[in-house]
Amino acid sequence: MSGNGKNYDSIMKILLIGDSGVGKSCLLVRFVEDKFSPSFITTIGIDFKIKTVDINGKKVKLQLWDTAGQERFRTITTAYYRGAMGIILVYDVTDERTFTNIKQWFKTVNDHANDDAQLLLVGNKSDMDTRLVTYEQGEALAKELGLPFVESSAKDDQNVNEIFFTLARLIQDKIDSNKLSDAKNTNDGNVNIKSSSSSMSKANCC
Amino acid sequence: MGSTSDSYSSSQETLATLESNTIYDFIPSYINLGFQKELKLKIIRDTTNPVVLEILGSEKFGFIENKVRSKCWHCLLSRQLRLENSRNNDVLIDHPDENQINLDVKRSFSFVENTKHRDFLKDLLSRIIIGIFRKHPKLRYYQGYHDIVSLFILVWHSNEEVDLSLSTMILSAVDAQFDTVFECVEIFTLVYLRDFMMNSLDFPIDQLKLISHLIKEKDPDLYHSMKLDKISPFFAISSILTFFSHDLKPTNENSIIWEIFDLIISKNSSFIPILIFTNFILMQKQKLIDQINLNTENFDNETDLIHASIQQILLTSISNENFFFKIMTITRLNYNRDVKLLSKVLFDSRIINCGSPLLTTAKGNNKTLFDTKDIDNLIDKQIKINGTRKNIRQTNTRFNIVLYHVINNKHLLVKLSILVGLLAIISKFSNRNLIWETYHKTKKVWLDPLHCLLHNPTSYLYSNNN
Ligand SMILES: Nc1nc2c(ncn2[C@@H]2O[C@H](COP(=O)(O)OP(=O)(O)O)[C@@H](O)[C@H]2O)c(=O)[nH]1
Ligand SMILES: [Mg+2]
Repeated sequence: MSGNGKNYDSIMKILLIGDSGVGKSCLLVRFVEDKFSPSFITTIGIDFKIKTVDINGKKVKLQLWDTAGQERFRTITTAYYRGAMGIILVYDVTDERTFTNIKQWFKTVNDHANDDAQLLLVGNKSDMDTRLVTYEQGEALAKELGLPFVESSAKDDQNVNEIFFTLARLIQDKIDSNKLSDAKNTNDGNVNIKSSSSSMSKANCC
Repeated sequence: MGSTSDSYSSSQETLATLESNTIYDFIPSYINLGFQKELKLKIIRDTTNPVVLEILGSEKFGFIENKVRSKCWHCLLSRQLRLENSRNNDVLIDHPDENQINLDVKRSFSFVENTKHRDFLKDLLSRIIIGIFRKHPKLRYYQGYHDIVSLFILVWHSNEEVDLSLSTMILSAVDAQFDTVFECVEIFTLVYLRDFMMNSLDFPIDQLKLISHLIKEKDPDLYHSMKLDKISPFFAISSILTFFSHDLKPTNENSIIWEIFDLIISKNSSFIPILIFTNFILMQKQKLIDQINLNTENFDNETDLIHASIQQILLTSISNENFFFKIMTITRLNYNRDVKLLSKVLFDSRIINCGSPLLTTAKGNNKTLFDTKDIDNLIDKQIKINGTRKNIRQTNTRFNIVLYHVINNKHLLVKLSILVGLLAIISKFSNRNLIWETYHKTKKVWLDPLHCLLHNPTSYLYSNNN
């Protein structure tokens, strides 16, 4: 187990949340398997996927956690917020209710996630001409909540990679700046999950 | 295949006993599976006695093919619950969950390749689910229910040629078939799924605890390796809520999922999914432990580590259907003993609500025919219990959130400690302070043992000895 052929430089836990049907699973499938199917299956509870990407010349293993959107699953899904370094809040640009609910999701994040988690707001299904939420509205909300913002389409493969790469870079930047300010944390260039967040080292002590 | 069963056979069961399946004992071993199935199919077709059907359905191969299965399910289910006014098409009030239902119907039958047939099935699915909830407005829809109903629909509609020519058939025949599917779904819902259809997932989460409990009883080492004393087995939620119909898709007549439902309905037992999941874990013990060890460094916490490891093993197991057939054999074989193991928790610690199917309508080998009134009473009782539970949980959650923030926020923690310190100093110096007075009047030693000890060590020790 000790230092055996590790084929990556760091790990990031990333979570996708938002109302049911906004396209969280489709974005994930597009990113991980580069596919889109309009009748892709409903997520029940929590699903887990892995993809390794290259960020600033480093191999980063992304742990991607997809969640069920229906309200009743929140008891379960919030148990997985802990330790998330990135959280993607998704709404559907053709469904106003999913947009207004983002504030509720934001609150849930504040209640359950680590304070230093990097968030990102995504307006999905930008390919559709039945859009009800404009780009400007999305941008305004992002500004209000202090989040970076992207519009995407899982169907047309618009901005899907950008979502995950932008988030991963923001997290990597945070880790790097934390490392600069915290000179103690220099374990031979390997940034790993445990050294990057204070609450994580606590969780690992037992 | 050998490697997967080894770890399990070492714990009590031997492969020899696994293969002995009463009804097949008289069939010579040189007769191949295909012929065994043919033989069994003949017996099922000729059986008019439902008790014999129950036995046939709970054994190897289940009811074998959908043409026969549809009749068997209908026969057995209508002996479990007698529906009054089964024809009920004038309910027009929308159910609050219809939006969610539509979202999930759209994402159903993705494994059906013929798009025309898929649309036909989706339309049927929507009509049945919405019909059920309009007829039983107290029940709430959950994501996953659509997977179970999809399975029922396929029992009657797995032949696309027949379905696509339905439009040319006489309407009354189509209607009659719709009514039968609807009736079966309705009975199955009311008898087996009530725990999942409250306005929260508290009851199904309770059911998950039975998995941990069984593993603890049957393999304490594994229980500890999987940290089941610390984490909730949320990793099993989709399998339990859908009775495995989410994980194991009915892609053809030989899919294992049919046998699972044959067993549930024939045994009249909601325990089956819990037992199957437990046996899956026990049989994959070594693989699981290896996976957990491999993953340990990579995960932030135990919930994540165990969930990811189990999901990885489950996915590889699903692609190997033979393995699931083996799980079924073990589940059938150990059924009585495992349910007995569970009965201790069921009755002593009361993890499961008293209106649950596990304790009433689907507790296994039931001989009671329930009616609509019984079910109504049970639903009302469960809604009441669930309401109380939900309130308690929400208060707890709020408290935990505050606690979590205090612990995680160094500034807040420092501020709070300063505040507590200040309060202590103020109360020390102000004799007229209310806290201080009540403190002195009550003279309860346990209010502040250290304080008493410092002021009057002898009296404190004295009072403690009494
Ligand atoms: N037009 C369009 N439809 C999409 C897009 N992403 C998802 N969808 C549709 O939205 C439905 C729900 O997506 P899903 O990923 O299951 O949503 P989730 O509940 O958030 O996981 C899918 O069945 C797709 O048909 C997109 O980018 N464009
Ligand atoms: Mg999803």
